[in-house]
Amino acid sequence: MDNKIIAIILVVIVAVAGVAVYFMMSGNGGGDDDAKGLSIVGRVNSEGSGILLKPSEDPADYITVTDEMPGFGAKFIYNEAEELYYVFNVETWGGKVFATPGAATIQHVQLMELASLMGLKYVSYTEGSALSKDTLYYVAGVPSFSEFTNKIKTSPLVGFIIWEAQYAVGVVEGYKGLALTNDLFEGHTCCIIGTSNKFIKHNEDTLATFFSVYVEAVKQVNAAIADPDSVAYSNLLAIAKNRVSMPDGMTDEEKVEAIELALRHVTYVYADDETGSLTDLKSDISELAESLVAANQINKSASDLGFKSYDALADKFVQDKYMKEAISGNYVEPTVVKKINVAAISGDIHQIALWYAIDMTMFAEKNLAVIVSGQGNGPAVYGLLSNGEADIGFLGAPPMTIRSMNAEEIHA
Amino acid sequence: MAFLGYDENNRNHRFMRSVAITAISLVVFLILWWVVTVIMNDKNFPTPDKVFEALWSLLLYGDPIGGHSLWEYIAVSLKTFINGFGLALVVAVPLGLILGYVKPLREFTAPWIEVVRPIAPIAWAPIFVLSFGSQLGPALVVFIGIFFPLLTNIIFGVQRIDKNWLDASKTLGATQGQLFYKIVLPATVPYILNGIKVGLGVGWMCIVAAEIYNKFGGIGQYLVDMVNGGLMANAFSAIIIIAVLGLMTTGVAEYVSKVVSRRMGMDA
Amino acid sequence: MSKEELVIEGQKYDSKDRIRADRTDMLYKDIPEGSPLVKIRDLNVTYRTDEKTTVAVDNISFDINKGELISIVGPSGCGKSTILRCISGLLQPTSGTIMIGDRLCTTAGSDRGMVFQDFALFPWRSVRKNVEFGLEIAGVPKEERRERSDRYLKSMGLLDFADSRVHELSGGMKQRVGIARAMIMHPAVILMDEPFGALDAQTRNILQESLVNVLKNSHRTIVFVTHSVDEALYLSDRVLVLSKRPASIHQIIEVPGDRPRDRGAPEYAKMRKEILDYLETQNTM
Repeated sequence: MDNKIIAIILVVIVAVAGVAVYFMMSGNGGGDDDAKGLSIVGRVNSEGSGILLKPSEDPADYITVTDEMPGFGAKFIYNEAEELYYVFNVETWGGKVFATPGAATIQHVQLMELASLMGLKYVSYTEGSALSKDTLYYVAGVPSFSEFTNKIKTSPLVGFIIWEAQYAVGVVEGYKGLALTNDLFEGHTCCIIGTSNKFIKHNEDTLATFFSVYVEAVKQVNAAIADPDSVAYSNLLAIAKNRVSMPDGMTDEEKVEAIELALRHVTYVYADDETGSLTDLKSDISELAESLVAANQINKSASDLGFKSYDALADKFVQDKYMKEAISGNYVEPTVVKKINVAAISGDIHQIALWYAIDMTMFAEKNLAVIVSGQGNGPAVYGLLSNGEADIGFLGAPPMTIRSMNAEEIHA
Repeated sequence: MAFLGYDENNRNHRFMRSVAITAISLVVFLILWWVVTVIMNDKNFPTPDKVFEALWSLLLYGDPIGGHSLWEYIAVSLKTFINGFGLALVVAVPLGLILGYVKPLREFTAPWIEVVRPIAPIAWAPIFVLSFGSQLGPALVVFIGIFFPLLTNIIFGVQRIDKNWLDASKTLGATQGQLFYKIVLPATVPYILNGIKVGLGVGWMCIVAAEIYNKFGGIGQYLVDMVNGGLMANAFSAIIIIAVLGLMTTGVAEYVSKVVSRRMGMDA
Repeated sequence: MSKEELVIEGQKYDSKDRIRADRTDMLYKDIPEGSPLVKIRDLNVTYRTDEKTTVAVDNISFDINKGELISIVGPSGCGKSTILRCISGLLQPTSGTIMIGDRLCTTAGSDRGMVFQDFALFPWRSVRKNVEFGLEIAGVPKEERRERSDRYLKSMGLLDFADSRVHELSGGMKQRVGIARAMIMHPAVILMDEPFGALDAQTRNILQESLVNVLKNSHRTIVFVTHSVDEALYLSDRVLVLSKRPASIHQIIEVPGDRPRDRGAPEYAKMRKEILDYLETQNTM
C-alpha cells in the first residue's frame, strides 16, 4: 500500500478523533461565561455521632467522666452544658485501632482531633503493621455497623466512630457506647446543604422554595421528637425505619429502639437560628478548612485560592442569603412543576428531615418534583454536585470543604 | 535513516536508535498529555507537572495523611499480590496440565470455566473480602485474576504439544507417567510462562479492587482515598506507581520466559 | 479429530503393556537371519466419517525377515505410512494381526523403534539427551548411557554437537540424531517413515550412505517407507510395491547386490523403470 495513502488515513483518523473529543469536552464544560463553583447554603444537623467499643473493651479504661477538675497534664475535654470533664486515658488509647466512615468525614476529623488532644500520632492502619503506643490508628471507609463487625473478625480494631443511627444500632446490639460527639464536641456542625453557583444563578426562587419546605420539615421533625405520643412521631419512626439502613439480624423492636435512641442524639437544624443566618457556620467552616489544610487533606490553602484569610474564604463559601429569603418569604413559588435533583447519603439518619419532607409529599405541594439520589458517603454526594448531576447535595461539612477546595470550586 | 552516519550493522548504533526512539516517544506522550489536559480543562485531570510533583513528594515523603511511606504501601500491596500469584500458580499449573491432558475432564469442567471466567475480579472483591477475611480475601481477588489466563494458556499449551514427540516417546517405550513427566511437562513450560506473563498484568489490576474493600492499606487503597479526597494529582501518581509495578513484574516474567525458552530450545 | 479416532472396531490396546526395555532384539535371537521375524496377516484399516467409509489398507499380508531392510513404496496416499504406524503400534488396525516372533503386537513399544520424517526431536533436550532418551526410559544407569551415546554420536559424526541444542543443527544432522536415538535401543525392528523426505537431494544421498555404513557393522531389521524408488533400490533387500488406495500388494521385488551399490547399474535401472511405470498407472487411474 502506498505510504502516502497510509499517512492520509492516519491524519484523517486523528482529525476525526480530535473533533469528537472537542465536542465531548464542550458538552461537559457548558457555557464558559456561566457561574462556576459551589456554595454552602444551609445546615442539616449538628451533633449526632458516637464512638463505639467492642464488647470486650471497657469504656472506663478509655475515658473517665468526672465533675472534678483533672490534674495538671491530663488530656481532657470540658463539656460546659453538663459541667463535666471527659478525661482521656492516653495509655489505653495509644496503639489502638479505630474505624471511621471515611477519611473525609466529620467523624474521622473528630477522631483526629482527639488524637491530637492526646498527643498521639494519627496514622492509617495497614495490614501487618506493628502498633506503636504513641499512635492512634484508623481504618477509614467503614460506613456501617455491619461492616465494622465484619472487620473486627480479622483485625485489631477495637472501636468505631460513626454517625447515627449506626451508633445506636451498635448499642442495641450489645456494643459499648464510649461517648457521644454531642458530649465531646458540643453543638458541632455535621451535615450541610451544598449547591452549585450555576444552579443558584438560574434557580434562586426554586432554591428558596425548596428551603421553605425543608425548614417546615425540620420543624415538624423536631416537634415530633419532642412529642413521642403524636401521630407525627409514629410517621417519623415509620419513615426512619424505611430509610435508615440497619443490619438484617435485628428484630423490629430492636430497630425501633435504635431509631428512637438515634433521634434523641441528633439535633436537626436548617441554619444557626430561626432567621436563617449562617454566621456561626461560616466560622466553623473557616476553622475546619484551616485545620484540614494543616492536616494535608487539603492541598490548597486560602491564599492559594486567592483569599486573605480563612474567614474570607468561608465568607464566600457559605451563603445564607437563600435560607433567609426562604424564611422571610422573599421568593416566588414556581407556577409549573420544577424538577430538582438532590443527592443525599442513604441510610443516614442525619438527613431524615429531607426524607420526611419527601415521604409526606411536602415538596409536591409546592410544585417541586424532588428526585433524590442516595449515595454511600459524602464524597459521592459531592461528586454528583460537582458534575452537575445533582443541583443540591446533603453531605458532611468536611467532604464538602475538602473536595471543593482541592478542586478549586471556591475562589476569590 | 541514512543520516548522521547510522550504521544498521553496528550494535551500539542500534541501541542508541532504540533509546532515541523511546525518549522521543515519551516526550511526545507528555506533550500530548499536557495538551489534552489543557483542552479538557477538567479539574479531575491534572497536568503532567502536577502529577510528577505529587509523585516526587510521594516517593520522598510518603503519604502525610495516612502517615506511611510509599514503600509501606507497596509492601502491603506486594504481599497481597505475591500471595495471590503463588496461589494461582499452585492451583493452575497442575489443574491446567491435568485438564489439558485428560479430555473427558476438560469437557466436563469446560462449562464451569466458561461461566466463571468472564466475571471480573472486581465483582468478586466484596464477596471474597467479606467471606475470607483480610489476609486471604484480597489475595483471592488477585488469585482469580491471574488464575484464568494462566489456566487457559496451560490447557492450550498441553493440547498444542507436537504429537510426534508423544509418538516418538511411545516408540522408545515411555509409559503414560513418563510421557507426562518427560514430555508434557517440559513441552508446556513456555505456555506456563506465557500464561504467567499475561496473568501478572491482570493481577495488578485486581489489587485496587481488592484493597477498596479490604481497607487495610496498600497502594490501591491510597489511590481510592486520594480520589475520594479530590487530590487527583496524588491519585494519578498512584496510578503511575501501580503501572510501574505492573511493568516491572511483567518485564521480569518476560525476561524469565525468554531465557527459559531459549535454554529449552523452544523459542523458535 | 485424529484419524486414529475414526478407525472403527479397532481394538484399544492398553498402554500398561508397553515394552520399555532396550536390546529387545535379544528377545528374538533364536530366530535365524533371513526367516520371518514380523508376520502381518490380513491387515485392514478402515476409516469412517459421517458421510462415508473408506478402506485405507485392504487385507494386506506379508512377512518381514530378520536382518533385512525392506522398503515399502507406492502411489501417494496409498497407505504406506498407515501400515508402518500399525506395525509400530501407534495405530490400531481395524482387523488383522501383526506378530513379532510369536508375540502379538499391541501397543507401541521399544521393540519397534521409529524414525520420523520431521525428526520429532525434543527441543528442550540436548543432542546427547535426545539420543539417550530411550535408555533413560528403560532405566539404564547413567554411566552406561553416556558410554553408549558417546559411541553412537561418534559413529554418526555428532560427537562435537553432543551438548548442542537441537535447533542449532541442520536437517541432515537432526535426522542422524533421530536415527541414533532409535538405533541405540537395539529394537527388534526399526521403522523409518520417509526419514529423508524432508532433506535436499545431496543430504539425502549422504544419509543413505551413512545408513548403509551402519548396516555394514550391525544386523538390523528395518522397514523403510519412501516415495523415492531410487532410494528403495539403493538401500533395500526387498521392495514391497503397493497399489493405490485401498492399498494391496502389487509386487514384492528382491533386490540383488551387496551394499553399497552402484546407483547407475543397469539392473537397477530396469527395476526402476518397471516400478515407476506401474506407479504411474496407479497415479493416473
